[in-house]
Amino acid sequence: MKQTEIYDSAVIGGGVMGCTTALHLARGGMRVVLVERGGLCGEATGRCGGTLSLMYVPAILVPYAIRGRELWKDAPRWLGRDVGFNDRHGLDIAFTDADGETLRAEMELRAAAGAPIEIIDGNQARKIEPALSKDIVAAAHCAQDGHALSYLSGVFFHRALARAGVDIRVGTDVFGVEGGDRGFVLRTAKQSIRARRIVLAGGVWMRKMIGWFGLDVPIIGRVTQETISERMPPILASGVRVFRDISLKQAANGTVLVGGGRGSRWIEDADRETVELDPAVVNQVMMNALGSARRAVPALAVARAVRMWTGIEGIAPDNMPVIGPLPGTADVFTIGCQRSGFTAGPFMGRLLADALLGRQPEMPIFAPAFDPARLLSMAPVDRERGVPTV
Amino acid sequence: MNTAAPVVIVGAGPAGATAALSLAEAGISSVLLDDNGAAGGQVWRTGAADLGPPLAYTDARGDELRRDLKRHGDLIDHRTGHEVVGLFPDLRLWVLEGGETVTSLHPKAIVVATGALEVFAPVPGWTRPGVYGLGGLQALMKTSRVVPDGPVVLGGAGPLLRLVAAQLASFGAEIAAVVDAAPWPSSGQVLRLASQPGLLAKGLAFEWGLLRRGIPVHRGSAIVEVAGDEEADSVLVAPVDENWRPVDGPRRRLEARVVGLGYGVRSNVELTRLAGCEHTFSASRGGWHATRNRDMETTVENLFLAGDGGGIGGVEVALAEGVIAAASVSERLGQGDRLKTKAAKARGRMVDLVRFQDALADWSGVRPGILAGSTEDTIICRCEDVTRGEIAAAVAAGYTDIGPVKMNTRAGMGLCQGRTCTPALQAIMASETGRPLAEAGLPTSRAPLRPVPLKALAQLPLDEAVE
Ligand SMILES: Cc1cc2nc3c(=O)[nH]c(=O)nc-3n(C[C@H](O)[C@@H](O)[C@H](O)COP(=O)(O)OP(=O)(O)OC[C@H]3O[C@@H](n4cnc5c(N)ncnc54)[C@H](O)[C@@H]3O)c2cc1C
Ligand SMILES: Cc1cc2nc3c(=O)[nH]c(=O)nc-3n(C[C@H](O)[C@H](O)[C@H](O)COP(=O)(O)OP(=O)(O)OC[C@H]3O[C@@H](n4cnc5c(N)ncnc54)[C@H](O)[C@@H]3O)c2cc1C
Repeated sequence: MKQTEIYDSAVIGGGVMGCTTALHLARGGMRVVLVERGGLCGEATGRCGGTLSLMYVPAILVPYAIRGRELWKDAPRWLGRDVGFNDRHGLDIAFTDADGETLRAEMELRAAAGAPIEIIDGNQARKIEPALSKDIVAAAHCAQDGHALSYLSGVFFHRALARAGVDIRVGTDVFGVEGGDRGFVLRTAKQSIRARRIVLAGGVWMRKMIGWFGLDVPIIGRVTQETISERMPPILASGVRVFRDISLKQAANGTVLVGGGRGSRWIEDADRETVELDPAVVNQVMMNALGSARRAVPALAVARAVRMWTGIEGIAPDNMPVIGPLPGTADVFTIGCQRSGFTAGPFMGRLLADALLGRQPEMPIFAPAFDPARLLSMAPVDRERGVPTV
Repeated sequence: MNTAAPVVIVGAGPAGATAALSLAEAGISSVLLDDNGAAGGQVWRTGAADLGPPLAYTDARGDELRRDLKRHGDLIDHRTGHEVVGLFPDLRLWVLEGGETVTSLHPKAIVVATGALEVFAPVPGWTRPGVYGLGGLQALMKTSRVVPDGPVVLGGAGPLLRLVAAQLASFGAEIAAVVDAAPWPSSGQVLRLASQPGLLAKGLAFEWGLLRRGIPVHRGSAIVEVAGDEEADSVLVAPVDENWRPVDGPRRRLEARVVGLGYGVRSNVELTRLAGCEHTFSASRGGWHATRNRDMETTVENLFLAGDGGGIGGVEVALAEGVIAAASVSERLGQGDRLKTKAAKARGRMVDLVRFQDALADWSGVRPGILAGSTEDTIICRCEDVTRGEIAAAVAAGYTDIGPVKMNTRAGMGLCQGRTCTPALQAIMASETGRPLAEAGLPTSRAPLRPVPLKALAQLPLDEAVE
């Protein structure tokens, strides 16, 4: 493509949100460029645990997460590849009666929104998952859970995007966007890119991207840490969560992945280098997570950790996604900052693409709850209390 | 267990052990950590006490060093079998002991002296049983006098190639041939090497050891294939140009049951990467290493670096840098400048040594064609089974930085964390992008460097609560 050519849409940010939006826009007939400063899915999407769960999401997002999970299951059809989808049950466990009560209240809201979740006691939980600790007093059980190989998503998306004719520009950092009479001009470290429409899909860097258009929104970052073990004999059949603490699962190849963020910090500027190298955070979060993992599944005492890493998620003060038209500048849209965004991601991207293609989305996507405009008047995250969970 | 020792030294090779001994001279105590059973590092590696006949081409300095460490046992807490698997920029270390327990140390200053790693260059068939690194063959010989059943063909470049060949031959191994990518050094190179007559003489002694036994050395040639049913039974040798790229000319097939490969050494940067030090590329020092100032301090405050881990310089440089690092640490801790004169002398020695090293690298340092012997389906990363073709495809798709290439191919993401395949990955990226090796970049390293019991990490004692 020549430099002067104008794309119908430029998607900035190649995580799950940007990749799926770009993919469906191209399949809908648009000329699309996807601009990513690193590699595809090298940030939150490729670093995340890949858990596909309905038990973490705010209740009104449950229907979206159900569809997202179905899409991952269905990946051979729309992505052309099996993404290592693992159909599992999920358990969210509590060690105290108080936690058990909060767990029940939260899960009832999700169940009412359509998640097949039931509350069970410790014995029932151990019947489903014998490896669980005797100290568990209550659990939520969900028939729809599992995981996919998130670390390979960049590879999966790359092929599908290329086949769909998306112009993929990896290693291309966007510094800013200018409006012009012939649409927008993306300023990059390489050549400039012109497009009529802009989709901002920058994950935790969404705040910076929105800033290009003169707006400031209280999006903030949060570090999550993952530790992966050597291959082990099968010990866990379900996806296990410790309430508001960690997520734990065993992949088909036997490795156990523990992810958690307790003890983590809020980050104003998501410059990853500084976060990753903050040893106090990394060490503490890891110890918290591994301590909880062992407590939940005592058999993990013999597991050996081979590597740990961190990733950052963008979070809005109300814990809801930031999807819709950007106020103030026509033809600019955002998609991201969705909790458990890997699960619902493919569906959200498709919905946004449908809306931009002038089709009727299967579920509301320009919903008031997702509207970027709501953030303009919103107070920043209360660092003590955190964000609402359901 | 936490320790109050002000200084931790990682690596008990010539550099680290000398740093510990110098500090002891100044009355400063240190903890000296090394994953081996005895001090000495690569060059003075040793095994049990009664190994039998001594190794050829070695000196007694390794034994002296071990005696000295013992003598200063009151000040030097030498912990064998202790591997550092984590190092953070606040100078916190994770130390793995016996593969089971992890302790956290938090000293005031650290000297990293973790030495070098070998450079491998995958060729078709290099994953067959019977193919080893030169260092691996040498280590077996050093620690237990085990010598492979021949015929043995050794291939690569650099002084280690000849040394290992001569040492193996002296223990009776059947060395069928030595295949050296470098040509004879030019007269100019010889002249510069002669600036260190002692070191040049050593090199000539290896050469003589081969000549005397009638072992053929194929210069300007490389092993481009290891063949065999399953195990190696022969190698294919091709002539290479000055960039080590195979060229037209007669190919030779040599019988080989054991194949040793090694294209020189590079700094082990695992810990300095973890700690977040700034790194630089220097062709004459074996490629990437952390940058240091003249006091051997890295860009992370109070983190010092001595020996081959900070750029390849060889034993003599490692010894000198150990002294300089110790002097800097002593001053930093406010323990006075008792080591100042010694450090100044060491600095003086280094000037000439560095000149020698430059000439050595000029003659046999890694060349851009190092991977030209590999093909599309040659496995580059054996942990994750990634081929050269897959890496090239990722580069063609626009992935020109090493991090994204790793993420997208999984190369270097296996258990060994890229210890073996990183140089190959960098060389492929350089050749596919047409950029110099220096621009291929360095991969991230992640703690723990080796598998560590989850249990141990969950119970790590911390010096301060940060929740
Ligand atoms: C395989 C190999 C074989 C070599 N053989 C010779 C030889 O025979 N003769 C020669 O002149 N030169 C040899 N060299 C070159 C070597 O680098 C020497 O120049 C010299 O040993 C460098 O001294 P050093 O103190 O810098 O490092 P080294 O001697 O390498 O010492 C580093 C020490 O640190 C230990 N270590 C590394 N990482 C950790 C960690 N995370 N935790 C704890 N301990 C750690 C290592 O096991 C080692 O004992 C060899 C190099 C290699 C890679
Ligand atoms: C450690 C961790 C574990 C998680 N576990 C799970 C889980 O198990 N299940 C689940 O459902 N969710 C999980 N999540 C959440 C999930 O990963 C995210 O919600 C989702 O991946 C976000 O996708 P995204 O596309 O919005 O952002 P990202 O994947 O972060 O993508 C944003 C992209 O924008 C690029 N970018 C930024 N600025 C620029 C610029 N100026 N120019 C060009 N490109 C730019 C970035 O490089 C990045 O690739 C986890 C998150 C983390 C961090």
